[in-house]
Amino acid sequence: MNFIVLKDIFKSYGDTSVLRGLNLEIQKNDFTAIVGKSGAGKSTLMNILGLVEYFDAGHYYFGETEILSGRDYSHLRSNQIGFVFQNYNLISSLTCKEYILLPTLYSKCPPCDVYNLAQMLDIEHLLSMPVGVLSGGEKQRIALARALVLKPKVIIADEPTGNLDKDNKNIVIRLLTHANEDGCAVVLITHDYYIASNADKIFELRDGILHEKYL
Amino acid sequence: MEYYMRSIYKTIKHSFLMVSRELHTYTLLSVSIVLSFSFLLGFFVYFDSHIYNKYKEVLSLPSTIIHVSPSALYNQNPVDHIKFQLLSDRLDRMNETNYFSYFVSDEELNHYSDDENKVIVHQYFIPGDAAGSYLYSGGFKQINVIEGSDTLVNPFEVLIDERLFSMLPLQQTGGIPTVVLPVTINGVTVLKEFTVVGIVSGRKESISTSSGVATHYCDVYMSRDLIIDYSCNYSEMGICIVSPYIVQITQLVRSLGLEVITTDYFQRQAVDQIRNQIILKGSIVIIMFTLLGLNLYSSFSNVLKERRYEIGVKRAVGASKKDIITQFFFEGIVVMGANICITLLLVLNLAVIYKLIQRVFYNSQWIININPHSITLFAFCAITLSLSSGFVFAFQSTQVEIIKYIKAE
Repeated sequence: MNFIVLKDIFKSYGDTSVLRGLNLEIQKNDFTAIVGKSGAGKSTLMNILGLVEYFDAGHYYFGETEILSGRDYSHLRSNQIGFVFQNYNLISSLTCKEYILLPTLYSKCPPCDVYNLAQMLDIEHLLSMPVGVLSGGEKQRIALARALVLKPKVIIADEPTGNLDKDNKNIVIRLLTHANEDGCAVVLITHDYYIASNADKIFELRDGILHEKYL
Repeated sequence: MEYYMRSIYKTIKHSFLMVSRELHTYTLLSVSIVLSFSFLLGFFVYFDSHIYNKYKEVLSLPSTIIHVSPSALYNQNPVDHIKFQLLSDRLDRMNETNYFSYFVSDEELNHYSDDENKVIVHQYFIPGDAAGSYLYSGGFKQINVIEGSDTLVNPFEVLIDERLFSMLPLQQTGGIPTVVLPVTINGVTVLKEFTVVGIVSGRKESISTSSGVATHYCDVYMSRDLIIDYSCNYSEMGICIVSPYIVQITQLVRSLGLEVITTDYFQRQAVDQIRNQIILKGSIVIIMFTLLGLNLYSSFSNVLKERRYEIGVKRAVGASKKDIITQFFFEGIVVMGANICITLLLVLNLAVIYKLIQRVFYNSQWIININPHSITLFAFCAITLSLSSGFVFAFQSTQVEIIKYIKAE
């Protein structure tokens, strides 16, 4: 059964059309990678999937809910989606632990054990530190921990390994794979075909629509 | 319901956390709040204290005191004595009415004066048991004995004020002091020695003349028998009446062609002036309230500009508009509350410092006073502005577009 369905999605910024009738179906246990050139609209697609950006036309079904453009779906963002942003989007005034637990303020779902999660990401020693002092790899792992803390039904990760070294990339991919094995759908945007090769399905976003790729 | 309450609790806790972590963004706002509210509260405290200190003596007087004097001062007209006698006869027939007549004479005390100081005594010739009563001399004042006897038993006993007592030679102050005072009999001034039986609280001010000589005014209360039995001269005379029948007595005195002054009149005049000043205060407060509101609105807007990214991230990770509104509303309330507390401490300390300055440099007993209307008005301003700032802050926080700010780190 499809968990996320995008049908004929259009999105443009002024005169620039980014998504032109895009279709996508994601099932509950799918690990989907989306690749594409810079400026192809990958992040726009992620933001629409993550319910932080509106689309201009088309149909979007999230579970049994039809998403209507212009409405706020904060309850879905807080309870069902774990969003890993391309540029981390940390809040510098919080400590790592406070930032990881931030979604628990807005959700009914019980959080998973922060220390276990931190151990898996090798960030347990950073929990009491302010996020502003971390390196790029550490920031990305903290952002990933925040996305995973409520065991979401879908993880949407926008270039989660873009700024990481090989070791950190492996940690992140291992975590995403582990979450996927636990029943969480993963949608991953990447430039890196090696990273994309971990996914069950790979799509290339080109000319505003998705083309399935077979490696 | 339980989830809702827990959610609110978590958001309030988070609001406190964010205020403590975002202190730098609140610094300017806090300065603005403290200055604005200090100005408002300071205005209330100064205004109320000024009114209180200006009118405290008048308003503390009993409202039943009436002073009667001849229509022309310094002009001892025998007709006035007849009028006084007629008035006395009428007063004797009134219930709950007490009165006494007294005389006043001003004399310079050459033997206590020198090149730099001049001492002038106001000699009040009063009945022996008049201590505690009120006399009129430019204003109503009480014969308030602070030490010693309050009764003049014989004509050569006097009550003197603190200032004159402080001028007596040191060797006298240990035993029963005496004071040499001039008394004018049939136009001839002679010096007589009087026994000081009590000390009266009195005015403390000295008046410096342009030639550099300080003139000290002192009050001396002598026995009225000196006038009646020894025919001493005087320059003024008056009757002090204590009676609840103010209107009737005032009409009676005026019908006799005498001058009348009542404490009730002064008090009504003071109340009128206070009322006018309260209207002025209200107008000023309305203007200040508006300016304060505008100032707070722009200050909170500036703070919000620095927090838009944070709001965008929080919205993106699942915060609803309600969550953001709650957080920023409570942040607004916490910031306003904390700064209003700082304001209270600041203004209180400034008022105490002002009071000390008045005491040390001007020898004036300035009493800090703030009346219940001002407290209510300040509380109204503080609560209204806190709530409205909190709501505006919270409302503005929901105007943040998520995508615009999470992209713009």
